[in-house]
Amino acid sequence: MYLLGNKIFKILLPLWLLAIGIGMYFVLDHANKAALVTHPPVTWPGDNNVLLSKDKYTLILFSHPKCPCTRATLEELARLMTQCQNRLKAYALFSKPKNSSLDWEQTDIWETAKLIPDLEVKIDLEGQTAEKFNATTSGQVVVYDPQGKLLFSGGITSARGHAGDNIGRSSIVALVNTGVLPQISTPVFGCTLCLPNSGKNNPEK
Amino acid sequence: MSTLTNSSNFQLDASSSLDIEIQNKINTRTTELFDQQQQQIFQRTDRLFSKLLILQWVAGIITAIFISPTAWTGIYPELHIHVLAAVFLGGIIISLPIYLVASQPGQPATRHSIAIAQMLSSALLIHLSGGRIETHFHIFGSLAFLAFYGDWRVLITATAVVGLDHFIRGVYWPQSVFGVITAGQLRWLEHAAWVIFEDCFLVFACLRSVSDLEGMAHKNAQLEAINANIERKVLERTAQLDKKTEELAKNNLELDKKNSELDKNNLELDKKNFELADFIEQLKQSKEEIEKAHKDLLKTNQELVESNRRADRIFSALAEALPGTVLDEKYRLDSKIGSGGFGAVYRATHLALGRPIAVKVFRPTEDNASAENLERFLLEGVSTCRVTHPNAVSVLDSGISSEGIAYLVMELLEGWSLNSEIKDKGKLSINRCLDIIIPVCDVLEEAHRNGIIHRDIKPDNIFLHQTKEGEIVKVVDFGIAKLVDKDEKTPSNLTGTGNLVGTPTYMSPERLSNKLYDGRSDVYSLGILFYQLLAGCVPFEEEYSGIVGLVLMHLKQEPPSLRDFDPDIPQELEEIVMKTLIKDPEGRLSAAKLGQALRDFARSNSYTLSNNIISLERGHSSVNTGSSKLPTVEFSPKTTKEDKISDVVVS
Repeated sequence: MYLLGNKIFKILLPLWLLAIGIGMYFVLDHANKAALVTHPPVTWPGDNNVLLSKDKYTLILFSHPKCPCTRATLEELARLMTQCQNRLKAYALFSKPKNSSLDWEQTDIWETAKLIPDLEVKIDLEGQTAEKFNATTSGQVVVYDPQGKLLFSGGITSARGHAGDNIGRSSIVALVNTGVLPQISTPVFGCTLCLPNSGKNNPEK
Repeated sequence: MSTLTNSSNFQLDASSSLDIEIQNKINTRTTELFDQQQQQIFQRTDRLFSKLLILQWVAGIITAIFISPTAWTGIYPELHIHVLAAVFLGGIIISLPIYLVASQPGQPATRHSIAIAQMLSSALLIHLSGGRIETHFHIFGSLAFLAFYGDWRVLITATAVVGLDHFIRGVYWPQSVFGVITAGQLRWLEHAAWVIFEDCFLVFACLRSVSDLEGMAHKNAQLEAINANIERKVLERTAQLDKKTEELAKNNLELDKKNSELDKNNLELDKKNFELADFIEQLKQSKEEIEKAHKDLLKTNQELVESNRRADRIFSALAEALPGTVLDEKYRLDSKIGSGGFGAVYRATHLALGRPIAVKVFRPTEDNASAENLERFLLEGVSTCRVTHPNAVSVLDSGISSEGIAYLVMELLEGWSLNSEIKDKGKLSINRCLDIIIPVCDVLEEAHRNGIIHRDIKPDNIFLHQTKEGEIVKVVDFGIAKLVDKDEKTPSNLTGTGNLVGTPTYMSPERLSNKLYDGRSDVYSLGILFYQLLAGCVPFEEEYSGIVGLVLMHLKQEPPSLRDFDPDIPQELEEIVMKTLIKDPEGRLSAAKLGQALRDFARSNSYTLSNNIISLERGHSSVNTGSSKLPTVEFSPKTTKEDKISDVVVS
């Protein structure tokens, strides 16, 4: 009788919860729906604007400067860099469309990336480098050993734009610090990069 | 509220002065106040959360717009689903609680829906903010806010939402919550435990808050009871005060009324005082006039006395020479037995009958030799003749002899005057008084019936005639009697000379004030005499106050009580005497009523009246004939001949 005595509440409560449940389902489903899996080259591709480190693991983050989900990725990358100290050579490549304005990439995400220590931030004009690494989604991370061998490929967030503990970050940290890699691939959550054939291979948002 | 009545903190003290009924009222009132205050808290917190939910909704929209307005596909932007979620999902979340706050504030359903919405809003905000750890504090803050209700059950609902959220996510999207793809089945409990950890403190705070609220309600109820008691007493006192004020006002009105009456009386009193002052002034003038008249009277009297002395010497010589003289060949004067103002009295002999008689010879003097005085002398005879009563002296004849001697032939009395007896004995016994006064009443009744007013009733004019059959009371000296019609009243100065005739000591007020009078004037004089016989003194003494004071006492002063002189005098008898001394003759007894009252008194008090009175009463119808039977002259051995004879003669 404490709650169930209220007839209006008894009627409206299920409808209300149902509506919320549906809404939450769509939101969560969108947040947890990963991009299509792509496979980077297993060996370091040559002829690109990123140099493979000879004594450290090399990490490349492919990002879209306007993708809001990438904020969570950069946040996780910052934690990762902190945990890996100088044992990792990291790059953040921001794809930029051709014929775009000069400051097209100058977003808060770009600025955030530049603030991460030991992270080298570069423009990937028309996503040419990303294309070489077969990366299509903002937030995708690849890790190569000094010999140019692909060790890890995937995202470092647990969901779309969702910071927090995730298997991608913890795997890279374990690899760098212990040489043991718990998982070689994780889902990637993010927007589609600006690629030479942008729009032809868009991942589902 | 069960916690209230059972709580030792709020148990009513058994030793309290409040009785059981008041305690029950306080408990009931405490429940009411607690419910009322708790309801106020619920409604106030509902309103607070309704605003907070709206604020959070707007904040979520702003956050979505600023953080993730668009999603990008290469170079092509599109609206981010976060914006849609913030607007629509956020709106749905707050819709039910906002509606319930508006329609059912303070109800349990409202605050529980708010708890669900608040926790879901936290989840949405965390999601919109990209899962930042800082945003997670929103959950703990929300729980603290929900504790504002003071209803721990709301916290349980909120906690259940958090736990369910983590449980569902853990099942379907474990990585989004726990960061791993396959989390443990009970991992969600770890998150919920932290919330429960906070709940423990908040639930304790809620229970404490409720307890404090109950305490305040109880104190307020007690205060209200005390205030109600005070107000009741104030009302009672006010009512009493109003009543007193009303009574006071009423009394004031009566007082004012009485003051008005008093003022009126004072005015009347002042008026009467003025009148009294005028009267006193008149009295002073009258006194001066009386004193002046008295002086003149004294002077005249002195001259009269001197004249009388000369006349006495002449008349004495004549009187001494008269014995042996035969008047009109009928009455031989044998010897002088007394003399007085009007003449001399002689023992005489009725020559035809050979019986002793008394002859009163008129003494002409310089003052009384007038025809008027002679007429008065003869009037005595006429008056006495008309009073044919055994107790009145009998006048047998009168006339003027061929020698020019005016005379009056009367029966010859033996004995002494009442004045002599008073001088001998002072006051008399009641029985003796009755024996004397009743016959006098009878005589006066007879006289008044015949239109005769004696006008000079006094001890000298009551003669105690001693016969062989016993004592007979005789009223003598009708020398100044007045003949009037039966119902006529006469002013006192109609004596012909304008002089006041009579004896002031026994004179009635109406005569002294020169007003009309009748037979009741004699009754007043008889009352004075009666008083004198009982008390041994007259009520108003001339010797102490002078003639003027005596007159004033007769006019104004009530006589002293007879019982002051003799406490053995019956009250009834005193009342009879006092009725004869009433100033106003209208209220005074008549002679007949006085006689009857005295007879009734004697009968009721077993007084034995003289046989002579009784016999005379029986023989009264034959008085006229009996009176002609002249008694034998014999003088009492107790008095001298001269004394007793002089009692017969009126000076």
